[in-house]
Amino acid sequence: MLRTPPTSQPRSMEELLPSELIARLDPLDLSSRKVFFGKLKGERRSKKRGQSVEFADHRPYVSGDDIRHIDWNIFGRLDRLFLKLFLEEEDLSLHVVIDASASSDCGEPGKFLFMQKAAMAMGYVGLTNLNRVAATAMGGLVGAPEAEEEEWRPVNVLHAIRDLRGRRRVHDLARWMVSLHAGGGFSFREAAERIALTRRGRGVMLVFSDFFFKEGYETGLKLLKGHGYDVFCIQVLSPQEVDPAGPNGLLGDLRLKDVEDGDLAEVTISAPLLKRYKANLSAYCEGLRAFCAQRDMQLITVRSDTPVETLILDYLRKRGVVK
Amino acid sequence: MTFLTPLLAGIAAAIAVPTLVILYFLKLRRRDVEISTTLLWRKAIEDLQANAPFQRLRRNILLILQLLALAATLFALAQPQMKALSLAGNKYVILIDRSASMGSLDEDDGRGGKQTRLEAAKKQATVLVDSLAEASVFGTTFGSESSDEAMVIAFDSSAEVRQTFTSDKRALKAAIEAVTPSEGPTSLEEAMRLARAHAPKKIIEDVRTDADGNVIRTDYPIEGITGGPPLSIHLWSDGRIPDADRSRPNVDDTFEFHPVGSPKGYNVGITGLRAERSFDDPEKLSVFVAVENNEPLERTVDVELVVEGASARLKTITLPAAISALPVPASGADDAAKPAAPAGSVTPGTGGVVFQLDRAGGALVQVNLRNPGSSDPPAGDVLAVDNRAWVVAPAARRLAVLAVAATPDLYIDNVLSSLNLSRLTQATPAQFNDMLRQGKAAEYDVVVLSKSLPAQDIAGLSSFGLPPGRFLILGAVPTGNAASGGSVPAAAAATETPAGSGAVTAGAAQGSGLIDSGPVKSQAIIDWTRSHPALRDVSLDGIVAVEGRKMLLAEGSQAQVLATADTGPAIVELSSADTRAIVCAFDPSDSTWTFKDSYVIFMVGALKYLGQDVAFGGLSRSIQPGSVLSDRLPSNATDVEVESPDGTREDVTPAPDGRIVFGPLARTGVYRVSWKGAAGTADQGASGGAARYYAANLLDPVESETIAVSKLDLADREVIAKAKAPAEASKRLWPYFILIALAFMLVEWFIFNRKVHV
Repeated sequence: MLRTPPTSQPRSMEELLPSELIARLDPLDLSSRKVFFGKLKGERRSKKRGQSVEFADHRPYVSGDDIRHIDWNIFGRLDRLFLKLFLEEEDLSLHVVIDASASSDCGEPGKFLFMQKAAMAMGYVGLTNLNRVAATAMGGLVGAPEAEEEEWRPVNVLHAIRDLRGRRRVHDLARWMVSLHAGGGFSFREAAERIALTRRGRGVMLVFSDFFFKEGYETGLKLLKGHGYDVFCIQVLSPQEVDPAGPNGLLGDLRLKDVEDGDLAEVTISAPLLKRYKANLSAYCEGLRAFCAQRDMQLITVRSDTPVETLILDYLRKRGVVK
Repeated sequence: MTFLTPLLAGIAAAIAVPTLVILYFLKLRRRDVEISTTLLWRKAIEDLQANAPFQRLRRNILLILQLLALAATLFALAQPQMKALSLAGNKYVILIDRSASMGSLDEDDGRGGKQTRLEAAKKQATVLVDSLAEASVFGTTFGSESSDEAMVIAFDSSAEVRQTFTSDKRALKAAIEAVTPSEGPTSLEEAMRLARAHAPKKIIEDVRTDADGNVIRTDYPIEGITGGPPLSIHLWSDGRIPDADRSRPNVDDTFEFHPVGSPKGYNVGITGLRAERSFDDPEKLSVFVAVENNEPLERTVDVELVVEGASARLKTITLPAAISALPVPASGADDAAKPAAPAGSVTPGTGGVVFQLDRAGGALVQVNLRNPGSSDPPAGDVLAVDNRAWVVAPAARRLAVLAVAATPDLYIDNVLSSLNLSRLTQATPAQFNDMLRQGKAAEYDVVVLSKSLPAQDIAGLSSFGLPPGRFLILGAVPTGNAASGGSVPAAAAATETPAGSGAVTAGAAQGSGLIDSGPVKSQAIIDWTRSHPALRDVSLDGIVAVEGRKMLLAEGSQAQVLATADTGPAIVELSSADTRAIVCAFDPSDSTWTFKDSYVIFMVGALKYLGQDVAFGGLSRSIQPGSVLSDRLPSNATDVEVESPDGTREDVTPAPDGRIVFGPLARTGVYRVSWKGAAGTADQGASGGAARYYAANLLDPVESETIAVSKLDLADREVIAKAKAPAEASKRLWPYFILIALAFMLVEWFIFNRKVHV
């Protein structure tokens, strides 16, 4: 809820991805509820029949087929030519989208830090399993973490790093991640449009955001979904957003200022107001969940004080994002 | 409800309320907080504003609570009072009966036990004090100053101002609390007089202009006429007031009677006790006990006689049931003679016991009423004071008589010598005067003076012109201070009236009340009092005195005429506390009386009567509580000490003539007066000292009649008892408003906290 103190900005990969977490992530691999066509040979089952060791099917031989794949055992038994088909293993595309607007930079612990850590962890899982990983920031600022805040450059809608493959690129991803800072605002619809236009391949898309968009999340999510991604929405809320009266929460007569658009709301924190706020919040989340469910997307709502490994090893594994 | 300082509260409200409202709106400076999004908050605010009127109220609930707290404080500042009784500035007189019957234990104390009527009366009177209007604490500037005033008078047979008119409730309550029960009879008259005496005097304002043209105002208070507001007299009593019909409050005064006690306050009590010795056989002591029962049931009680601390006799008597006196309309002279019976009164069942004792020595006799067969007091008896009584029976002794005559009088000597006397001495007037000067005359119980009077230059003569003692004076008229010159008839300053009836003069009343108008020849007795002990069973018919003195009564004379001759009173009785004399205007030897039986009967009767309370009874040593112990000790008595029944000792300084005054006595019981010096004829002598005993007994049928009444007949009105609860108290309400303000503040604090945290 409140703006996160700047000290929580990560400065190195170790902060984003501690070694203990790496040890727990190593056995994991990405999965998708859907099987997509890949681009390169990878470790992922593809829709294509190909040259893996795993048998898939037989089909009658037609002229022009590679005779190396004729199943001679069947020819001997039936005296007809059948071709042995094998499953092709291809790579999977993982697209991590982070909401880097100023609203993410709120809460204690900060939502943006949580998103960075979770995105980094998922990117690590994807990279170590020879998947194609792309990461896109919506809004936000870019600059070396050592540099002064004034030198950070605002992102024009999107800031992305693409086509990362292999364990070696983990550091590239981490560097990209630490150079990213939350700030400013963006239009979710416009950002989703651009992501949809610049997308490469198909695969799993993880969208980290609080999904508090005044313009509405519907159009943006439709655009993201519309291009064949298996979309997982991870709604990150700070504990203060879930319970404003809790620790580090709101007290007394206040003038609330929206960090993105500077909108002002005068409130006197009272029990009925808090009750109403909570009802609104749960209604909003429920609406988001229903929207996602209708469009074959999955929504996971987490608090920013949830440990990242709990998110990945528990929530995401249950939902089949990792295995 | 009235407000003592409404103006002050109004001014304070005019300042405080706008200030609070302005401060409330000023204080709403909101803190800026940056949050991730106002999306949900906006929606929440919009939702809340949907039911705006209620929400506005809710938002301002702190302001409303603050305003309420302020309002309560302002109300408190206005000093509201709940008034129930009357307007401010009244004068109340609180009369509290503390007589013996008020000691009856028949009032519920609210805790299941019993309390005395006096305790109940004190509590009710305290409630009245609480209800008095008080002056504003802020003075006259903003409110009313006048406050009720009250005075407290406690009375039994005498009245005592415990607190003069004041508005100090604490002093009034302390005065009420300090009223102690007495064991005496009741008399309202003196209390009413005291109340009137303390009322403010009527003041006449005299406005004059002096020579310089200055206006001089002088206020003259007029004694005897009361001014100011009428008094509101409140009486707490059980209604057993025999002289209520002699009490006359002013016409404007209100009189309220708050009865205490139960109409079922049943009691058995001793109403009479007397010890007598037989004249002929003084060693025989008779004790007469009269007992009354006011319960409408027959009762049996044991009467125990305790002589010198040891139980001597026990007799059981059955008392008849009391008969309720129906309110019969007064008819004729018979009813007028006796005091009008108060409503609800009963005619008690009476009974008596006589104990015969053979006891020559003096004795302290106590009589107790007991429940039959036990040593407890009678069951269900509300009043304990009248269950015991004492009588001091002096030692049996015969009379010592001194006969004083210029020449031995045959008729007197013969009569005296035939009586069973311990001592009979003849003396001439000169010898008698010498004996008086030497103090030896006090050895004789009765002195018979024949045609002689004591010399008037002797110290210590009473106003009768006689020394203390008992005298039978024949053929001489003691005129007291007004007279001069021994037995010589005084040249009375009185102007004689032509008729032979009682002459009226001024100046003589200071003396004996008798006027000696010189010698008279031939007076015939025409009327006499048959009921007097000295003349009982005597006929004075046809007695003519050849020589004698013409005796007249001065105006206001206290002398009691026993026989009247054609020239005026012939035989009178003079009595004061220490002197008693029967005066016969003629010497019987100069009349035809000596030839009749009645002469001897008169002489014996007169001697017996005069000597009785010296030797034969204890009447003079019996005092009712509430009256003063007054007696004469031998004139050389020193270190006089009075020991009360409760064992406290008090020193009393006797007057030069040996007179002591102690009291008024509050308790029943035996009072012992001891001194150093010679003992009197009937005193107990000890080594170098002597002691005399006095018995204080209630012995009052009115007090023993403990059934409480609810109606009081005053001289000019009939007062019906007020309802039991005397009045709603006038309470200062401002502390409650302060409490309410505090409560509002607490609620505000609670809501404020609640608002912030959840």
